[in-house]
Amino acid sequence: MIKSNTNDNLQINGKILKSRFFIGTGKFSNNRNMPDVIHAANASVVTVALRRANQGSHEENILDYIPDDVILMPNTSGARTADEAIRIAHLSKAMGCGSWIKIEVISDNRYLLPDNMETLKASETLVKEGFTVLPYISPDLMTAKRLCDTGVAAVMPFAAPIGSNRGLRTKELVQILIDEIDLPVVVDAGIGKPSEAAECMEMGAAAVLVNTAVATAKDPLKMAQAFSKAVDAGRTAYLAGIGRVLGTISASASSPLTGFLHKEEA
Amino acid sequence: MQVIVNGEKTVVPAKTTLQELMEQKNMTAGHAVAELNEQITNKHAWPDIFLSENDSIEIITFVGGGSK
Repeated sequence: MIKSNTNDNLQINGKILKSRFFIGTGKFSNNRNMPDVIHAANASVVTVALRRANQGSHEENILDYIPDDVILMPNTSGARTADEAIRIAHLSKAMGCGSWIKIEVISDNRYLLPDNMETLKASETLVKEGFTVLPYISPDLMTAKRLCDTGVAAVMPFAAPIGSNRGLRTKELVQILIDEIDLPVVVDAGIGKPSEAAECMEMGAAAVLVNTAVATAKDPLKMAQAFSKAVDAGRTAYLAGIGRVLGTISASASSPLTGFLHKEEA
Repeated sequence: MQVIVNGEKTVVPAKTTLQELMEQKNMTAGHAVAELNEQITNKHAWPDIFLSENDSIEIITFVGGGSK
């Protein structure tokens, strides 16, 4: 009997995750469906953001809609500098929601590309303070190596600009990170379709984080299921080892070339 | 007495506590945190913190988010 790999859990900072799918909670048309979507996704990590409270209104508490069996990972979105990211991380901790933090430092309002240098600075500080730090970065090898040296728990390169659903535009750069970095590489932002999540996993990514593609789907629950299956399929394919790719456009028969059923011509 | 709450000028009675301000803003339930003059406050200390003229208070909550 062929044995399958049954012990393939992703560990981040010693925490065993139940799946390799991370999901964001922005842009959903309402919060009420969120628990069902998160369960359909079998998501292991769920991201939230911090913002100024809407004063005087009885705003819903988003945490009421996040199941207990996931890891909550607030992000530092809105931060334009390392100091602002650190401040948001401190606020997040003060709100009693654990020590996981996705560092996101963005001052480019057009493409929303991360500032790797400020991200590195924020990560250095927050790792020293005991946070489990997952920095969102442009897929640059040297930045990723420096982040690893600081003690971050994973690196999160983008696939395409945030919310664009444009797919894995940074494929070759992400592959370099996967090949050269010893920490988990979680592909974040820009993934628009389950097939693209599967592609990330086939390449050896440790996990993917998706938000817009699920939240803006016609049926978010069904899309969450599709992403979950795609992540599993991609991971299984990676573990199986992708078959060789021919260097030419000619074919290579996968069936034997002898013993045909038709009569040989004289 | 005037204080600044999330960037907006707000008039509150003298000797208002941070707890009273948070109640007035419907911010005592759930996960909210308050910064007073850029310092994070402990929720348990809110009843003992008396606001002063021109204090700046930032009230922060969690919202849905993935990336910016």
